[in-house]
Amino acid sequence: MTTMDATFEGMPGLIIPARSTAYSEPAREIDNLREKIREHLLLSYVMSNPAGQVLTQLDEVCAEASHEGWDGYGARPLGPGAYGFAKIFLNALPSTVPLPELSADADGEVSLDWIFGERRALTVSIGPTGRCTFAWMLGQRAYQGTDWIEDEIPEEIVSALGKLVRDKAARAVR
Amino acid sequence: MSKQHARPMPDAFYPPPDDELSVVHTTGLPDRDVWEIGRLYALGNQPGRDKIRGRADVPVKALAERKLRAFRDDNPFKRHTSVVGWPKSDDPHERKRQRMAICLELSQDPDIKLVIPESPIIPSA
Repeated sequence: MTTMDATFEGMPGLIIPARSTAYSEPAREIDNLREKIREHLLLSYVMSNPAGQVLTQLDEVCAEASHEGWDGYGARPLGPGAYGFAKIFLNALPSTVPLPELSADADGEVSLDWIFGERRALTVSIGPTGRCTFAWMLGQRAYQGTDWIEDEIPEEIVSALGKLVRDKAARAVR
Repeated sequence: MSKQHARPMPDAFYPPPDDELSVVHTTGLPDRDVWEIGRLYALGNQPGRDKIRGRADVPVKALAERKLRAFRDDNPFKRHTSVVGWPKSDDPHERKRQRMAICLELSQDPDIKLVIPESPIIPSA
């Protein structure tokens, strides 16, 4: 059986790598084909440029916040741990999700923010151990949580993004 | 701040390590005087304090709704106010999570207005 989680809440994520637990020859061929398509898309300006931009932005944020007191109020420096996990997070973001606004937290973590409309937003803070602290709201409902990045984005955050993206799409149709 | 959405970002409200978020009591002040207080007391030589690109005008009601208190202490300058009452869980992760949730709500509160000056506020020549 071939399983792929290269989809995002039912929407295809074209940039994230395919993951398969299958070993059969047809399954490997499908994986290879999918990887070729992914590489092709990453070479295209439309798909790779926004992803590249956000990684460049991460480098800029990291450079700006790399020393003690970078905010003028004694903030902790943003270290290689938080930077590395933020990079993993951003690389794993499905292409169907809008890119976040990036900044550094005063405690040395990387902050990712999405605003989808009034009272529709998600904020994620990524720490040096891969811990993601997050809060999000959709209308009158508000949620918060903590989870860890391993080699992919924590499921609860993927689910939150999915709900916010779908809500925005539904409101655009109305 | 997010210029695209005309909203302050959640980070703008996150309290510093002493748990007292510094703000200014602006009731009754004309707009230019509010910017002038920022110019005099928020700007400095330290990195990150060279200009002011915007401010959030926060009604006290918005703080009270999140069980926060605005305490005017006039220290270190007249009208200086501290926002206190942030969740104080012993678990630092839980504390951060609770505070982030409050900051996110504040950033999305329609009663809180983002004000952007015509040009960034810089130190007087």
